[in-house]
Amino acid sequence: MELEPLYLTFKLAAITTFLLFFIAIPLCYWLVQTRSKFKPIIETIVSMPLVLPPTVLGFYFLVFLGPNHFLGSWLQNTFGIQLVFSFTGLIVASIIYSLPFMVHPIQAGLSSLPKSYTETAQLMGKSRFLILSKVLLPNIKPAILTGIVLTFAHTIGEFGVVLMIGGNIPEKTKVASIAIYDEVEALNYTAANQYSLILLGISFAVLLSVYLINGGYLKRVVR
Amino acid sequence: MIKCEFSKTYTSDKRAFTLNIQTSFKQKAINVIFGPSGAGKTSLLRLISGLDQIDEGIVKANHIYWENTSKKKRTSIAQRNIAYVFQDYGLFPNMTVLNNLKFVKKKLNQELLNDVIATLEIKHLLMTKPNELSGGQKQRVALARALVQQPDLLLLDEPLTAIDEVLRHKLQSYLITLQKKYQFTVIMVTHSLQEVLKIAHHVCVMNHGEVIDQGTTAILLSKNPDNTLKGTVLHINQTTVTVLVGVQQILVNKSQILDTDYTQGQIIRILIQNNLT
Repeated sequence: MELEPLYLTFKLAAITTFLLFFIAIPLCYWLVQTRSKFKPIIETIVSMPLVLPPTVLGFYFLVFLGPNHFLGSWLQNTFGIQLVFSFTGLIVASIIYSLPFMVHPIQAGLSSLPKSYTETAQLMGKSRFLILSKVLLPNIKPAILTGIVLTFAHTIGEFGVVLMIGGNIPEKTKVASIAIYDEVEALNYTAANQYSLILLGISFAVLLSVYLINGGYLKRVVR
Repeated sequence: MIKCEFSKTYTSDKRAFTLNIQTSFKQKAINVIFGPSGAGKTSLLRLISGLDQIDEGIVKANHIYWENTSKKKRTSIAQRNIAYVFQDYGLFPNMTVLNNLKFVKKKLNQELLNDVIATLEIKHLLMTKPNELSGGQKQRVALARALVQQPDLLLLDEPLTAIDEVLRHKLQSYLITLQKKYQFTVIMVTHSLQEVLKIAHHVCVMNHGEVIDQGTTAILLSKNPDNTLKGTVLHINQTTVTVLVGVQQILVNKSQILDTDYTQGQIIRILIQNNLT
């Protein structure tokens, strides 16, 4: 069993989770505060990956970010960024594919807080950044932890999107879930089993921690 | 003077509720908005604070327009220097009581902070988090946090309803003491006539989204011979007594209703509300 696919998997999951956290926080704050008529459209787009087959998402990434499309060629010619069949492309795809797993818990957490927290701080003349960082986020730690854990776990389990946009390039885009598929195709069940056991154990531990949070145990620890 | 002349319609799926407000509040005094539930009292507070926006009209404080829809003028919420004690107090659960107070301003007036902590008797609670406080303690902390902001205007949305009568009387006394000392303007919402009688310098009676009467408590009561505040069903029995000997307190059913010194020969008027709320 090679360790590279496992390393790539956790690197992808960590970077995706980290970046998605900073994307999701302002997005969630906007979704909770806004009275815009575009809110349902944005919420629908955020939730699309929940119901869409990963291959559909991967297919459109491949089309739009490929060198034959305006967007893909522009990115390549202007910034030298090639998103198709690259690790950077995997990160972009993972961020979009895992978006609802980070946004939903944090949005639910922010919505559950009384309006009076924000309004009291507004009346004190505090900035949005200060309200968010000092008042709102510290009071939804369990929701944030749930978002982080679910995003991390979901990225570890990605297959369809990763295969479509990243292909199967060793040491570049070959993550553990694809390695398992490869090993099974090569009838190397021992290696496939080793990868699978590791992913199974990690997924179990990660999801167990989510249920402990929801059960209130980690809630007390975190506070 | 805080002058309010505006209209606002709140619409929800079920119904629309319109406020048509024509009233003013006295500066450096305790103003009480009184009226039954659903009269629009809280909405009026929110519109004055700027948390909700009026549809049409003006809100003017000390010759400065906080809202003026015809000139499309609006003073930002922060510039109004308002402290607001919400019905749920809005204390931040992640901070201790002391940190809740310190969060208000970068440079707190230390003398004021100490005075407020002493007057409201919260020194022993400073390292406690709000979730560990009782209802009465939360109210004192919320009031303290509002006061250390040194607001020009203090808005109180029925802050004294969820506590027992003895504590309520005590908190009312705190408020009177602190207002007298620091001379800020208070606008307080209540549906308790007892509160109006005890603390109000100026009363604004509301019903169905409109201010239907305003003035001092005495004027309002004398205007209404049946001793009711217009538009309410809370009746008061009024009686005049002459104090025969000096008294320090008057008890009705073991509840202290007056706590000032009264001297021999002084004529006082006692208002007894049938149903203290």
